Amino acid sequence: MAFIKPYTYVDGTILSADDQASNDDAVKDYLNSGIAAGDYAGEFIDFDQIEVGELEPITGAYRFMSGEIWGTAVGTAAPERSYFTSNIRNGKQTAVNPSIYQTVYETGQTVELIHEGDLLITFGGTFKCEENEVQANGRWDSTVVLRYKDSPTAKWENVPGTEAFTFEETYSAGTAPRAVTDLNPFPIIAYPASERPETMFRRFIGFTWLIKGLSPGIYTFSVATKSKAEEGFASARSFTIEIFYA
Amino acid sequence: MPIVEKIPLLPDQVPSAAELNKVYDDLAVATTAIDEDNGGSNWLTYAHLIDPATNEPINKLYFAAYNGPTAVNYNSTVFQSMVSNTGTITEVNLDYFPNETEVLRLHMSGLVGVPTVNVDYDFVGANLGKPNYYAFRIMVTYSDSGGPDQNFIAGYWGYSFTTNGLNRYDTTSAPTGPSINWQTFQASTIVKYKGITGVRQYKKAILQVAVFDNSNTLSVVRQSLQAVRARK
Repeated sequence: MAFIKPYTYVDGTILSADDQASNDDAVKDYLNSGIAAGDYAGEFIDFDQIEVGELEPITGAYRFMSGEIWGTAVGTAAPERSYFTSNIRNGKQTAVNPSIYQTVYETGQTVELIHEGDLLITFGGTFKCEENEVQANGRWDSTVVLRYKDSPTAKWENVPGTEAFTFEETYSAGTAPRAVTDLNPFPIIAYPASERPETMFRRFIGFTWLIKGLSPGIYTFSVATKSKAEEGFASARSFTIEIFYA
Repeated sequence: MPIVEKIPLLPDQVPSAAELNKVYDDLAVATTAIDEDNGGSNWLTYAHLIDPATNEPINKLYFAAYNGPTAVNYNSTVFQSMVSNTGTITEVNLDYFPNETEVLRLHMSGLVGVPTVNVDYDFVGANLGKPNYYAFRIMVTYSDSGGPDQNFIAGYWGYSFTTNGLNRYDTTSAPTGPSINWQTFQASTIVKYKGITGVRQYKKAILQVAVFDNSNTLSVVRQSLQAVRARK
């Protein structure tokens, strides 16, 4: 509610110090952050009072304030690459299904939800893998997936709708070891010269996915790789989390 | 010019009640229109961003997805709606009237499985470079002034079946290259409504797909569609 003075002056009436002080104190209290949420209770705040979602037709730029946004973006410079490898534990390099996850740098974000909310998460990155020197077993794709946990001691939980792969799996229909003659891309020389799949080793992986109905709390997110490649990296990449409170 | 004026008083001048009341009464009027400069902590909460008349939040998120793992195949040369393995269309029901200049955000993403590719080489003439392609689009269904449903396309996004690059622009059949499997597809776009507030009703946004040559079959393991509306 708006300010109301405690004391009203009346002509011909002797003013007391207390009455004057009561008005002055009330003003100080009110103006020094005394305005409470209830003062606005009757005033619905509409979107254009905060940020207008609009398109600038000359430049094509647009702005859209949808909620809290947490994001990072990394360019293509070599020092900014996020490397991953299957060599970090003995025997995992040729494992049929390795279980070692490695975070893609700059995709780890911790956000706090003060109410129950939905998180819209967008990731995009360029992935490049080098040719293996050893024979891969089973499927030879490296997995990329979004993971999260709700406390430092909790286990990471994969988000199934975000799973993607760094290779084509063109000829890998089963889990049997791949032979060079079976057009395994490790090494890639098995392919006809006209169809060498160098492009299979470099691809853009992206997703936009919604995680609905998270309870209030602190959540840590990470895009991780489960690598079958001896050497791979993500170069240009961006990662954003948008919070939508219901 | 100050919003709240204090009338200066001289020594020995007896102020009138009106003069003394004025500063406080001015403040009472001014505080009916408080701005961000003098708000207390937490004066604005998410509760204030919900329209009390409709109980709708200040922005709204629409989401539809098929999350696999059973692949769904497509080989139509005209755009068809993407579906789950049980036939549920990947669409979001917007069902609102956008304000003039209002912006609608649209996102889609998904994962291709293992396509079946029979033709990836190029033809001469009008179809040069096309048989190798498939494309996604987001179609928005709307109605103006309560009239019949109409559609517009918010965006098209194309992909290739194979990596067949060295034989590009051959005029005869070339060996079909290995298909590009398990790759993600993703796109974002925005739509700005330029009409008059209250006339157009957005009804649905639908994710669709088509191939150029129906001898090629696209396999999709999962797909999702998101729309975000910021109300004004």
